[in-house]
Amino acid sequence: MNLRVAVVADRVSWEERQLIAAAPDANLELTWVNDESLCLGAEGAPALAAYDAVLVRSRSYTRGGLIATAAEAAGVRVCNAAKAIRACENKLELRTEMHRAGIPAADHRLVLSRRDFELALGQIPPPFVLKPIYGGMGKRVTLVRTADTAQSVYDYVEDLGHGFEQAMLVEPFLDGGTSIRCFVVGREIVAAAEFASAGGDWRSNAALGNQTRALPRDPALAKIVDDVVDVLGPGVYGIDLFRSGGDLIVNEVNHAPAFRAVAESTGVDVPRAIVNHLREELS
Amino acid sequence: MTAATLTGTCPECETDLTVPPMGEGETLSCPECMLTLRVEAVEDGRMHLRMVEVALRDWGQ
Repeated sequence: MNLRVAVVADRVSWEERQLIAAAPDANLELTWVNDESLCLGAEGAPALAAYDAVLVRSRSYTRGGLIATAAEAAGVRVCNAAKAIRACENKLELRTEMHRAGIPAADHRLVLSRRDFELALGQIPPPFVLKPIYGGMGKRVTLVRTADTAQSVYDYVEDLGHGFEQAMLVEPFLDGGTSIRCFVVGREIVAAAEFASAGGDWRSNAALGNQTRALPRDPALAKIVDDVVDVLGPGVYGIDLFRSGGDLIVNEVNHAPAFRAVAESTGVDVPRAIVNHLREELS
Repeated sequence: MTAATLTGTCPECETDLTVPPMGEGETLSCPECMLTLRVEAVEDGRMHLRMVEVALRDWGQ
């Protein structure tokens, strides 16, 4: 009998469609469940009672951790674990966890006000990156090349940012036009690719439609990814890294990563790897 | 047995739509008014559609 897994997301996109199609080969039945209508909190999580586990695929950087927390509290098995999702959603939390474990992560300053921003500029001179603590897909990540424009950029944060959107990080500009995406399932790197900015945008992000190339196996990459998984626990992650001075530095970890670009550039059957992992976890 | 095509009506502009087979949760763009529509349910080859945002403001994963 197939085990039932709820794919919790606000809609079914390419990735979820591939996962749902691959599931029967792993003796699983994956079903889309709208993340907008779970109303979690009641004992036993009635909206999820028909499922053996939940795969959190919410793209929202607020919903995933909340849903995973409430589902776990109700005794539902959740992939990824709530603790891991909460760390991934919050760039400061992730950097803190990495530093605590001795894993190289970007130097940063927490900016909650213009005064913080001015102090950060004194410690991390341009070019630097101003990025929101909550968010992803490269959205609102701003490269500030000169001090002349820094205050004007911050005007927009101050005027248009709402509440937690004003929580920012200032970091040195490191990526040099490329970044590495490691797609991890369980503890293993199933695919690794390098993303290069497409020319019209300095950001090299899988969500921005950049150029990609598959990467060969690299012991240094395997080591740092293994260390990250030690911190977060086994799961499904998109781990983004930069190279800086010959070293690898963790930039972000996505808890519900897209995988179309990395699957197409490497030829790896990512959906099969994920459903097999789910099956092993549930066995 | 899966229907060769599905039908539905755009809840905004009431355009009749015929599309290849789709599942619940998948989205399409109405060719008339360009809104993004999510398939809420499929019954007897007919889709129930709901307008959704192209991308939610807090998307970031």
